[in-house]
Amino acid sequence: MTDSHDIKTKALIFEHDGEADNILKELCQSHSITGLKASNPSTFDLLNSNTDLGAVFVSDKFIVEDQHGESLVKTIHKLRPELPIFYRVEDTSSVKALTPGQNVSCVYQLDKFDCIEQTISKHIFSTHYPTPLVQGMKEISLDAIQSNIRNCVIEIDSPYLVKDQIIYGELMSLIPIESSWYRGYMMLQTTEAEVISMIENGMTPLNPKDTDFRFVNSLLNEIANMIWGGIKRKFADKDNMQADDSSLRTQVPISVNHFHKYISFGTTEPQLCFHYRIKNEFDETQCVELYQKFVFNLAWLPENFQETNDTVEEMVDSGELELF
Amino acid sequence: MAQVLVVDDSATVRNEVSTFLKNNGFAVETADDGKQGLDKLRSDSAIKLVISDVNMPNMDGLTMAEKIRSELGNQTVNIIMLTTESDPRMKERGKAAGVKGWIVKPFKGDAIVGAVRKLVS
Repeated sequence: MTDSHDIKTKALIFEHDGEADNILKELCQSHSITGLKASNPSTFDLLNSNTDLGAVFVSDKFIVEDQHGESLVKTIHKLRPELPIFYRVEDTSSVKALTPGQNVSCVYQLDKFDCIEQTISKHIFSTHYPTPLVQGMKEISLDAIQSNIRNCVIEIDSPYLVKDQIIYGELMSLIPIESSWYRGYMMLQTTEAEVISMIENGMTPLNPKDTDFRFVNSLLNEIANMIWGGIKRKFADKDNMQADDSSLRTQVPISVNHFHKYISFGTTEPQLCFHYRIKNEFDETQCVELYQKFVFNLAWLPENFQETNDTVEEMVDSGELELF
Repeated sequence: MAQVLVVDDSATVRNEVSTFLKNNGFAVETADDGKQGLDKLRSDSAIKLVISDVNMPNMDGLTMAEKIRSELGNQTVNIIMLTTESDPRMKERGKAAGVKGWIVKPFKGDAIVGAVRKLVS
């Protein structure tokens, strides 16, 4: 369970009952979950179009395209197998085919929802992220973005956890991040047209005519590079990191399915995400949405967390020349 | 007009550093990686200073610095590393290869121009 109350997650809610709605609303608020009510029950597009989800809540009487109950749950699970499903029934004796661990993570009734809390802890807020680390990631990322995008103001949501493995946008920069206590990847995702528009408006270090997609890639890659550099300086435990450590050679394949806009890092652990809305500082029009995801798929030992900038000799002033 | 070679795999950084330097009266050449940087140095003796990233494909900046001294036998060109890296072991390797300065990204244009002025004067 994370100890940072700032970290949230989003859940899609398929619920027909007003009383249940109110109870879920309170439960979501008390567990850092942002509930997204499915108001249009006629389509499964809601599931496909909602990225950054952490869970789905569905009641046995809710109908989507003539499906309800266990049939609906199976379809949701088939569409988004990575998402934990919380299934509300009025009578548990009617539940035969569905058992926790198969298609659903939790079957509950309005007056008995202990399993919801356990499932939230087990499947969503299962990873401890030290608060200074989360704060540092955000500050370093803001610095890197502002170094590459001029004359902007940046709005940022609370950090949140997602279980889904959906690729947002059209453009992705992926960089391995590793120290002796974490190994994984950082992804930046955005859309090309928005970045091109910023380049054309002179908001980047690039020439306004450099709108070829390779320049767009370069900009996103440089932001990713600077973020990883900053995180490495502040949080990597360099002294204990051995280049020949066999654990550092461990890798797992990453699969990308463009048709389904899906990326898998081989882990079902939630991803830590930040969402930046970058606006032109002069007229506050939105320029770019940037999604950042951290996936610690190869190692995560937060008990070894330490900030490395608490000793004077390790402090680094970015941008200053050190002459030898 | 002193000629500066900017070596970085990022077009964004190449463009930004080049613009700062050109606006301050320097002539600028660019290269995408260490291998290309070495080729430019081989063919252009007017280059007086190299500003290079460390992590690049094909050949990294520190290897390029070592080869400038050993393979090209060029002991006079000044080299500054402009990088996200701050590992003391990397800096030591840079010093041993004759690197004169180290700037950690994100950088300030004034620092780059100031460093270049200091080293080419």
